[in-house]
Amino acid sequence: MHRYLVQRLLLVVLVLLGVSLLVFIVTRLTPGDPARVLLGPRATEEQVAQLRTAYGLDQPLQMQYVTWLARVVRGDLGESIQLHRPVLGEVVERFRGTLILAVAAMIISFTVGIVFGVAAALRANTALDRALMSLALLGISMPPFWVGLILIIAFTLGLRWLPATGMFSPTGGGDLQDLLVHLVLPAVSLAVVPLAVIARLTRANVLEVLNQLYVRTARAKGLHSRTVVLRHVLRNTLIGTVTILGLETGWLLAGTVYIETVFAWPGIGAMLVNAILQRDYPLVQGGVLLVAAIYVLINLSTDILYLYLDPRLRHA
Amino acid sequence: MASDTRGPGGQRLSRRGFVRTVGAGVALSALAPTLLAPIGRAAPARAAATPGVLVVGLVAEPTSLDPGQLTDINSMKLLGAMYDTLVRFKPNSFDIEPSLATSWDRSADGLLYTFKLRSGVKFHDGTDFNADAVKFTYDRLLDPTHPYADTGPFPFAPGYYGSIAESIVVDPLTVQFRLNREDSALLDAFTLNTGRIVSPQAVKTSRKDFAQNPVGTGPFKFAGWDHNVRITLNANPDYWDGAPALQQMIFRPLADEQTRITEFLSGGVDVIFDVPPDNIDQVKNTAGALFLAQPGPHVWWVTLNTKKPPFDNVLVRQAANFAINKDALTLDILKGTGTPSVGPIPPAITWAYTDQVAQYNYDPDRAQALLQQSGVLLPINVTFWVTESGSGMQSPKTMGTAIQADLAVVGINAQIQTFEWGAFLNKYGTGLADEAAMAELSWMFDSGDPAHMLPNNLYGPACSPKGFNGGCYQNPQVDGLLESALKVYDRDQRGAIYKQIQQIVAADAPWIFVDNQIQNAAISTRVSGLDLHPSFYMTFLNRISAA
Amino acid sequence: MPELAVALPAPSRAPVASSWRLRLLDRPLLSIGVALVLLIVLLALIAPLLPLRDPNVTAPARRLSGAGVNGYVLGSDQLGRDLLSRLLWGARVSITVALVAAGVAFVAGGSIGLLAGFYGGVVDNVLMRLIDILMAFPYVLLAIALVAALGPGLLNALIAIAVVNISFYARGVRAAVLVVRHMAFIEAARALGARDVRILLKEVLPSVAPPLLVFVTLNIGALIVETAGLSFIGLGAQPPTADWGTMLADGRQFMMTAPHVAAIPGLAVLALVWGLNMVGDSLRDMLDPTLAHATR
Repeated sequence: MHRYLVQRLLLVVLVLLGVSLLVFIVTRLTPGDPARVLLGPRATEEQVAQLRTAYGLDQPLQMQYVTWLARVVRGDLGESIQLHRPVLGEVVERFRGTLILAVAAMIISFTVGIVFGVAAALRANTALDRALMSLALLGISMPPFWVGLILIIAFTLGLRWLPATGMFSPTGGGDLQDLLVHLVLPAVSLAVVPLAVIARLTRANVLEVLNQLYVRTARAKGLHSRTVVLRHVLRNTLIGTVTILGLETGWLLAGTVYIETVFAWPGIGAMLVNAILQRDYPLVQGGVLLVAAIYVLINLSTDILYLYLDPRLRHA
Repeated sequence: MASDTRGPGGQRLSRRGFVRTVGAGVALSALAPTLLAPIGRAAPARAAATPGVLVVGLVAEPTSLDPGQLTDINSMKLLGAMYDTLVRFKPNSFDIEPSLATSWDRSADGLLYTFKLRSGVKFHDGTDFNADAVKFTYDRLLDPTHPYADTGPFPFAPGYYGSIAESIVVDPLTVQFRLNREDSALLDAFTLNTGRIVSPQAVKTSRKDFAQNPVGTGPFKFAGWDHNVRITLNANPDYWDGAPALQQMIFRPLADEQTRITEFLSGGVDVIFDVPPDNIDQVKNTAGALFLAQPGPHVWWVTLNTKKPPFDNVLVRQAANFAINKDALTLDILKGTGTPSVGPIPPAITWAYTDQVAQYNYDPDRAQALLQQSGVLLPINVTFWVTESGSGMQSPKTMGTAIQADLAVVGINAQIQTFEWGAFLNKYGTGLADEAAMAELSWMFDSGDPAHMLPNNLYGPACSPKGFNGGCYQNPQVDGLLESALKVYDRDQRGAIYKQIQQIVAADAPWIFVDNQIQNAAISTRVSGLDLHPSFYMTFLNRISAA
Repeated sequence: MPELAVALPAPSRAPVASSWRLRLLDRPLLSIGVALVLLIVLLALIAPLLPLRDPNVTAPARRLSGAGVNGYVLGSDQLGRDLLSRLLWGARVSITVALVAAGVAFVAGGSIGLLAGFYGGVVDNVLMRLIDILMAFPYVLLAIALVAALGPGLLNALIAIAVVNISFYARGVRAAVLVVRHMAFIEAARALGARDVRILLKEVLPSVAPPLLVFVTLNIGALIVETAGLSFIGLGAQPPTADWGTMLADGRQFMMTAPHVAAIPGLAVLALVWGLNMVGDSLRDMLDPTLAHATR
């Protein structure tokens, strides 16, 4: 047990190290550097060189990587070049925005998806079933950013019911209601694909269970009350369907980038895209590391939890 | 995911995923308090349409409140409220008038400037403004060994103030600058944001945090910065130039163009700059809104590679200029937010501008005739570097594509390579050399002085990668004129030199001259006293009032 | 897409070809899907032969025309270019990039998965750790960073998308191989002295192929969306080349004034991906009858 834990922790460290190296390499491969971006066209070669020295960019790459890594280990993610502020604070703040969006999308897709799936399965092969499954098939085909654009055209520009951008109203507001109103469109856009996926899978799982039940019923010639059926169904559905939610986390955390762009939502995806374009090395490296760390840690903690729950695996 | 049990039918039914989600759920609910915490903090009072309070919409979150650190016009606009410079431009002009300095003179050899400073001025933290403060400001910018140089870096300082060798305190109200070379543009440079005077006491106390806790002598004092939400400034009643008519200014970063427009139209902000061309009519037709426009000192052009065929031939370069339909571009694509330009200096800099230059009206036939005359074999393929975005670049991709289409008509096939701004600057800075024949670029003359731009872009020795003369245009006559202009101090005489340069450059056509941007703003009718200044800065903020 | 990792048909040795023709007629969904995909692909293929306006010719005076206005069937974009024409020419670009990227990711990722699954042990461990690293990186950001590093342009966008999708193919193939690895016919081949490579190519690969086909079909839709996404952020096709993503991005600024500029390419993407998903779904049903009753 302990060996397994230690092994997994080492693995986490290894993966994060790999990620840090990958992001370092890829950003440094990118032509141009923060000095260039800051100076714009107002720069002689000399001035660019001066500024690069000020940022430590004239050091050999290995040195820069090691220096950065040493500071990360001490909890110092450095300072953003563009924003002149500590990376850690900025990254955490922006990540919160993405988290709110992702959680909202998960809630929507989970609840609505399960309802659709169960309804479709209980009325299998009827018009309702076919309608719901057709919608679901359509749902998994829709590019999230396009859904966002269409929703904006409909609800903001057309009906004027909901705001199109931002997390809060720039003037006034700032309370929970304001947040929820701004959350609707982006969360729905993000939720469409997972919702459809969950609906389809739930339907499959439920049908699975129902078939088993009816076979057993036929054999036992007894009567299964509705509540028993439903309990059985829901339990198995939950297990099967939440498998997908585990995978959703990764997809959602990464996939919010486009939604954040369309809705000007202050999340970490949009921040990182901008940071990459501005060559804000500390911000990119810090931000990517954080997102990767969270992803990896969620995986790790649930795997460990699973170990406690299922003794069989302890000897695997 | 190594071991998942499989149920009948191939479904992966496992408790593993269930646990994973529960784990995530537990983790997330632990985070819940932090998720909701800032919501309370973010609740401001309704500030829009409050008398005495002006809400300004910025195009992006300011990067810093330390003037020395800034490189973006957006942040610079904001700092004009909190800081002053030694000298400033008069309203709606590039004529210089006293600000923190009351008078100045220059030695005969041009290497020593003496400034007399205004007395009785205090910084927002109560300390005195004096010669020490000026020396501290400029030493910090220019001397890497200065004890507070680590509050930088200061990217623009060497470019604008590199001619200053030493700053000297003569007495509390007199400061001198000794130069290492003649620099007739230095006075104009003193109006720039980079040289805004900072409180030495505040820098010493806050060190790097000075960027978040600015202290200057300006009409407004810093009151708070809610990142990505708002920056609040309160009036400084002791302002030396007269207490502000406003009580408070609030700056809101609204990065998304559509949000900015929507907020303005709904009354959420009182002022926005750079109205997107397609929304201008909307603004004009909205009651309670005013549209301001003013030619800004800005030039947008396409650099031509003068070292390689086909643009090494002046006839081809002139042909390219004749081939572009600038009127269609400025009217249809830019919706009137630009006017066709005829040379490297914008009309807004009246003392240095002339339109008595070679004119390149839209004339594809003339273009084709010139091409024939040049002997170049058509059609010819050339590479055209275009950028995705960039300060001052207007609508770079659309304009680039329109130019490409116009050139195709006369037989020049431009292959566009788009780069995002960072990569684009990198490529351009290395020079067009063997890789490209054309590249677009623009410039905002916030110092109102061609001396800060032309040597960067048209001076022979500044051929990339040394400078930003990407097409490596080399004309010894122009070089000589540029050098001499720095040693002439009478503005009319300097102007004459720059006019001469304009005529030569227009004839040589090292660029395709495209347009000069018209800076614009949308303001609410409750605002008065706000005028656009050709320097792109917000000026005379103490004279603005909001009903 | 997450769904794929969970419910693929079990690879088997059962011959597939014989019964599928019959099933095609049985399945309306498959027919619609195939028809939709074929229609779009066909239109894309014959676009050069159709009487369309030049997709790159600009007419600034007639920009942002609505559908049917000024002689434009579907309207014009912000430079006055014909939307219908750019849509069809853009289809060629978007589809080609997705196909090639899928191919590259398939070959590269598939090889990794094949090797990892077949050999197991250290090889498996090392390869999968590398894949883990790739997966822990937010995939969109990896694509963007790669394109920023390599420079914009369709080729580089293609490479970025391929690299980013390698991990999905690697894991998918590996999972399928793991199931097959211990099956009897493999043991038999080994007992008969066949070399590893031969086993890989002649036994493992054909068994794994059908579910992979489903996977690829369903994945191409995602790739089309990803290509569009990169162009949407500005790192894909270069002007004046039309592709659906750039058209979407260009249209975004004009949502208030001319929403059709963005809506139309979006519909096209939707239609194609929808069709592909219908085909993929039906293929999956056909290949694994045990799943059949579960989805329809």
